[in-house]
Amino acid sequence: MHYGDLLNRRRMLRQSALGMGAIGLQCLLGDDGLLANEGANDSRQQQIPHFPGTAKRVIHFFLNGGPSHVDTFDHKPALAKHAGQPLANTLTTERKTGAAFPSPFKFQKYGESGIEVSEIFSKTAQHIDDIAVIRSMYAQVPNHEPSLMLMNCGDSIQARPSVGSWVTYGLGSENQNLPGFIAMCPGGLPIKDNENWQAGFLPGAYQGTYIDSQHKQLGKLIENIEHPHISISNQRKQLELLQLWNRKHAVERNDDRLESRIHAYELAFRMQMGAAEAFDVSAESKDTQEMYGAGVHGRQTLIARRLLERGVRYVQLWHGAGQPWDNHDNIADNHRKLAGELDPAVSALLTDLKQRGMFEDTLVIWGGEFGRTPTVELTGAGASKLGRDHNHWGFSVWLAGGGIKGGTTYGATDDLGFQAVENPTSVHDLHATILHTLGFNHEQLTYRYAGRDFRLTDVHGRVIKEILA
Amino acid sequence: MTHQTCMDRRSCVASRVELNKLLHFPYSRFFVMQFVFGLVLALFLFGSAYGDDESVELFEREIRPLLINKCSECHTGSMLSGGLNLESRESLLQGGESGSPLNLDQPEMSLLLQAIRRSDGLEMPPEDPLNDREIAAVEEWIKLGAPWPETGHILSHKSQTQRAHWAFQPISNPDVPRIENSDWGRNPIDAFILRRLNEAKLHPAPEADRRTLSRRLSYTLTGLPPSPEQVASFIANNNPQAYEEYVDELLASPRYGEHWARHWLDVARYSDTKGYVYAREERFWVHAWAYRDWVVDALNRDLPYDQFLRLQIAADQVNDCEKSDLAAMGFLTLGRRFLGVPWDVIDDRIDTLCRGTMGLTVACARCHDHKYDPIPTADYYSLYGVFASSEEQLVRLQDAPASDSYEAELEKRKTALNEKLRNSRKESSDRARSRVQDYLMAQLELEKYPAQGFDQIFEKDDLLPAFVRSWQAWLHQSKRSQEPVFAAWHLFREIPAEQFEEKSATVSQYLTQLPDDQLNRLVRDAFQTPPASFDEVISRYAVLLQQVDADWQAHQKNASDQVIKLNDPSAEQLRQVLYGPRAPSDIRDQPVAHIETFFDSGTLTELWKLQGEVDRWIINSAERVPHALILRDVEVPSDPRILKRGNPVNYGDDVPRQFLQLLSGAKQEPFKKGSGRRELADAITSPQNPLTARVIVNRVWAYHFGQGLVTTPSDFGLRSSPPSHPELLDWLTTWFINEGWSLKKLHRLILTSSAYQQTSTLPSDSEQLAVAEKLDPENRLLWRMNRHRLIFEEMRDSLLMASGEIDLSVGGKPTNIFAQPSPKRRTLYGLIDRQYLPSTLRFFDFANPDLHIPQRSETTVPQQSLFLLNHPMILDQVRALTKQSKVADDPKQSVINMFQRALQRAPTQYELSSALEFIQSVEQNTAEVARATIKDWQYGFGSYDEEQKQTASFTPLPHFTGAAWQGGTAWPDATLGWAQLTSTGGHPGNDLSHACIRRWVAPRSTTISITSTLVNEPAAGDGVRAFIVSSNGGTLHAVKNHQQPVDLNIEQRQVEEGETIDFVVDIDKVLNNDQFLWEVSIQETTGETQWNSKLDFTHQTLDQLTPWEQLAQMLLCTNEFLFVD
Repeated sequence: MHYGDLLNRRRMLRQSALGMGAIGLQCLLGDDGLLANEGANDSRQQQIPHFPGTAKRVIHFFLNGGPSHVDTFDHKPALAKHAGQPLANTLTTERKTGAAFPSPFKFQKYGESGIEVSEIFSKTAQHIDDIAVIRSMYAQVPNHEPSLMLMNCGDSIQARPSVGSWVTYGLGSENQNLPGFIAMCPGGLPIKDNENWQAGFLPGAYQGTYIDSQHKQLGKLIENIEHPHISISNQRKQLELLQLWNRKHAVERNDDRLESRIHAYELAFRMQMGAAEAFDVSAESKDTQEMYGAGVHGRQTLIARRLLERGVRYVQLWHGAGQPWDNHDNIADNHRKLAGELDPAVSALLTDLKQRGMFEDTLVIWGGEFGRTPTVELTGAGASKLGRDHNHWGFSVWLAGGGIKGGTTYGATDDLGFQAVENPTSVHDLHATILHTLGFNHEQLTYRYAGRDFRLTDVHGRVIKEILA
Repeated sequence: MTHQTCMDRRSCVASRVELNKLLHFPYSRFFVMQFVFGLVLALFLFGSAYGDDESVELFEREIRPLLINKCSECHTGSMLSGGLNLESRESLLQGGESGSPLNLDQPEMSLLLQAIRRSDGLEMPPEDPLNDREIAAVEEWIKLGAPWPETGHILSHKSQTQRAHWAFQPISNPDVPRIENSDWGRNPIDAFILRRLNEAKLHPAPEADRRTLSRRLSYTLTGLPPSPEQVASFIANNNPQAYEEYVDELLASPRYGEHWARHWLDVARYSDTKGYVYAREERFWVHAWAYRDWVVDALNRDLPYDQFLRLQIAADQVNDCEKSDLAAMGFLTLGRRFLGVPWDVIDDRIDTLCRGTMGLTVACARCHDHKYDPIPTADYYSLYGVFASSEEQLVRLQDAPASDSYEAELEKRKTALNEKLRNSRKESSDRARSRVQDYLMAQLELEKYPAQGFDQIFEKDDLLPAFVRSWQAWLHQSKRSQEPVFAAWHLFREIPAEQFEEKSATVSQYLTQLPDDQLNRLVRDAFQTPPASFDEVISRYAVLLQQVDADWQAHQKNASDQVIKLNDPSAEQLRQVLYGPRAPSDIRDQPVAHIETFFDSGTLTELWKLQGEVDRWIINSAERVPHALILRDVEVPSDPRILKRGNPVNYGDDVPRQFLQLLSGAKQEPFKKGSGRRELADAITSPQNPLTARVIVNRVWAYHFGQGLVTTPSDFGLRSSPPSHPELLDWLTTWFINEGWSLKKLHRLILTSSAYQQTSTLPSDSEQLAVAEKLDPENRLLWRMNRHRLIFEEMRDSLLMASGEIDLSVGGKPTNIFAQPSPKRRTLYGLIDRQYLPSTLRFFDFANPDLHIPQRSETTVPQQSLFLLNHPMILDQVRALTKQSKVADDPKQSVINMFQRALQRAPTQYELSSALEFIQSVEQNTAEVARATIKDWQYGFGSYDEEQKQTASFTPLPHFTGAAWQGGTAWPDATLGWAQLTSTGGHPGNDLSHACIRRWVAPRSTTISITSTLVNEPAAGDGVRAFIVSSNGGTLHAVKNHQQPVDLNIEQRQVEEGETIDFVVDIDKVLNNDQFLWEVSIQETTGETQWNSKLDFTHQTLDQLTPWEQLAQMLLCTNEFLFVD
């Protein structure tokens, strides 16, 4: 494989008359030979289109709102020296900020690599030798909406497919009973809503499936999955009758699309049970459940692991509705509380993936849409509420697992943490790197729309080889 | 240039050259220009006209097109007239028989210049002389050393190929082929089809049967299945004109416009909402549905397509249209809001317009010249300027007043908005005017100010980037027009900072020589002494302007009459900078959406709130008052500037507002009237435009045959695949134009062709089949009909047709079709919320409303099947279909009826017997599933009598949602409030007389035990009271519960037949977070029976599909239902 196969896939996608049905299925399906009659029974066909990737699946912790890098993974001791002094800063942010504001949290060195991490992520820090921290990320504007779009879809404003949609389009899903791309956010939607996992101009099948992970009932987690109006055995009988009629109809017509739809009913029937099983964390051992923690983050992370294990390609875990990490005030309490919710779950996931032998081929991403100012934010009246403003000039994102060189830091912000100055890394670079680990040349994973071939990284992007194992 | 200044031209020039030397301007450029005094001054004042980038720009924008259009025909390729080859810079320099046409050392001596000036006997181009502008451009280009990017680059090859592209050629009118020896075919379309089939040695398929044709026609024209009666009468109609009559009947149906409107709404990226907006802005459009209804109506009345487009682009400027036609402009205005970023809003309009009407991907040229098609960036910005010179306006389409209360409230809200808008504009403008100096200072550090004003939160005392950009534009314009107030500014700006002190005196001295029409007198006076720095230039300007402002204020105060200007013309000139039309501190009288960046954040939030009040009144009112959001031309249209690489703060050249070079050719000239939008509409809809008519003919064709003659309906550029039948496309297009752009006539012609009436099945002759599949697997030559899979709208509408539930009322505000109970209107009238597009629409390949969608994708995913198996909307239709079909005691007839309703045909013997077998097999099965204990429960409300320790009253709750018993469809209900019972718990009603009561009735005398756990979880509120009450034994348990679960068990109790056990919950003292969970198990201790409040809950019986309903559901899931042969 397999560039030819990718091209094939693309051509089929475009030829709606022939290929769509099969490809649509392939996106959700994979390796059980159901598609044998469409020549798609080779499980490897869905994977690794350009070269062997180091990761097969992705889990992305999205700290929506913008976690402060100087309070988490980018220690800036110089801030203490300038504490309370106004900085000669000319970079514009959304609001006015004042004096240097040292982190209220203690940092210490962890692991053999000795990378410094804030106390609020002390559990995650136990894994620091498996983590590569990019400290020189930058975005384009200091506002949530465009920055979320940039981080998720590679473009601040235009409607473009999200990273997860691209990956699912490229790789398909390995599981017949589950969507290939799932976004979970407890309690409602982040700002920018569904656009964060949109399929853009890609077919709707590649859209992320949103799940409100605060719920425990399956029917509220996945649409149309429950069938209270009919027993499963009667539904089985129904489908037998349907397939009987459909097969007879298809024989006279010889149309791939008719066959695809016959299969789709079988899959849907099985999905009713398969999905229920995947979301049922009570099947996990008590130890595992305790390790992840009892709260909603522990549960959604554990569900995510179960989904990944079952072949879902891309899982995005949002912190919560709106923009929880957007701490314009009281960083000390708010960041501590948020990290407290997340840190045990992230750490548990890393441990769990390692124990299950999944760490090597799972790419773990941690980050928000931008960082926060090293200076304290001021209210209109000039008062401080001990919070930080948005900062797109410099922030941190970390990666781990699938082909990432652990114990690495890449790039740096200036002494005070305001702006990426060493190896500034664009979001497009990050995207190129993510695709690279999955086996894609980011310049070649394209889709024809509006007269040209579009790609996730538009005309930008450089694979950050320095953080690859 | 006045005579005064030219009195001593020589000394003037000399001093200017001196000046130039001092300021380090390239001497050579001045040398060559000294012949042209005006140009010298212009260049001097405006500085270096062309940097390296700019010289390339000059070549690409002016020279290359000129060489291609005017010269290449004779001087490239095989035809090298006079031996001169213009393919590359090298060959050009090398020259031909007359030597090199260029003299780079002495540009004026260049043969080329002599030729184009026609000054020396040599006249080129021979027949079509260049205009002055073009001659000036060539002069300038040669003077710059004839820059030509990419040495060796072939001038003409690419563009000649581009221009030779089939779609850019005039539409031809080919003869209809004469086919010998064939009796196949009904009309000219068939002759074209058959010729291609014959060439490929393929054969058309036989005609489809009447039932198939009936379904096919009905779906093609109306998106709905025919009724069984329609099919029957069509089959029975022996009239030779039966088919044509049927076509006409369908074309005349109002359903036609609804169906074809949906095709157009895909093109128009229709949505009822704006997409993501900041929380301050109302996210619903006021006008979207009126646009949708206009499209339906326009198609139903067969409005000629050219007029259909013209109205959508420029209804505001079309004289002979009705007011209601203004709704058409929703086409332009209902795109995404892009967080208010104007460049993106306009880009969306250009993209939708050009791809939608002409199949041209013009938006590619936003950042660079189009990679494949001959569309330069300059053209993109020419169109950009049209839209940048148009402003939105909300127009009410219905003059007749609505109810008094509607009008009064609307007026009130509008007044509040307008008043606030007026005051805020004045306040913000005054503030900007008072800070001229700061805004001028900001011009020195533009990089500090973001392109968008939305990036930051602004206080009232902040400088607003929008005003900074207004000043930037003002200064740019003043430089361009050689306006006299800022002439000194521009001159001082040329001096490098480190040399300022040294050289400012020279400039000052030079300024003294300038006449009033070149330099404002007061400005000249202000610079009598040389400024020490550019900051000082700024402060002198600021002082001048402040002084004029003060004079103006005083003048106004003192004057008895209204004054309109200052008496001193020089002062008045300065006053214009502050108060003139489009002055940089001015905020135009436009809707908030256009001017939001000119306010501080607090003010803006207030403005949007008031705008939202107006919008919401119109949107939410039950009264249907249609509005249109139109574009109209701004008072003073302006020429756009190219934004280099699409970057909104990286300005390139000014370009005129004009139509695309590709389609105007030599006739490309700036639009003359207003924004030029009407002229743009006329250019697009011109019968000479080679694209517009072809594109719509191809779209219409594609919706008949499943694929277009061109398979990329919105891209007719070089990257598109060539048409399968180019002559047919042109013949049809010419016919279409000649027939007055009538879409209905076009439908009729296509539908009555034999090509359309072929079967979709494969040839029975296996040899024929093998040949066909080998030669033309995609069936582009139409050796059979393509099978059509219903799109989501057709599918849902067909379900409603089958169930007989469809509501065919026309037009109006949108409905959420996924609500419960299921609305019955056509899917076209469903709410399209681009921000929260239901996932059902996504996975059924609905057109993404964020983007122009030329063709829907067609995927098959299990979520579609799950929807059809389990969604309540389907279950509703299944029940209705069963009700309509079922005949008591006649299962056979029931099956037949069902088939007729769903598939418009009777079942085969095989289908009939399998259906009846199915009914039998699930009947047994269903009986096993139902719990016998369900009937022993009742759900109601009442009150608990504390004195009697008894349930005082019990009334059943009237409404069941499928998941809960409650007061009505809405919860809370108007009369019964929050009272609700679900399988796991519920919510008491709003007061103590509306406690909710789950009642168990003993079916026989026996002994039972009860186990149950109750909890009112929320921390808020004061908790609930709960009671277990026996009709015979009184209160068995009475508790108050808040947050901590409590077990309420009864060890053992003897009950008599008919005795009731009530599980009562009320709100206690306060109605606040009183929802509770209470699952109850009752075990018969002397028998096997177990009752469980959850398992026995109503939905187990009510919701369950009967065997007949299960059968009906499968009919609606068949491939035959979803595919049209």
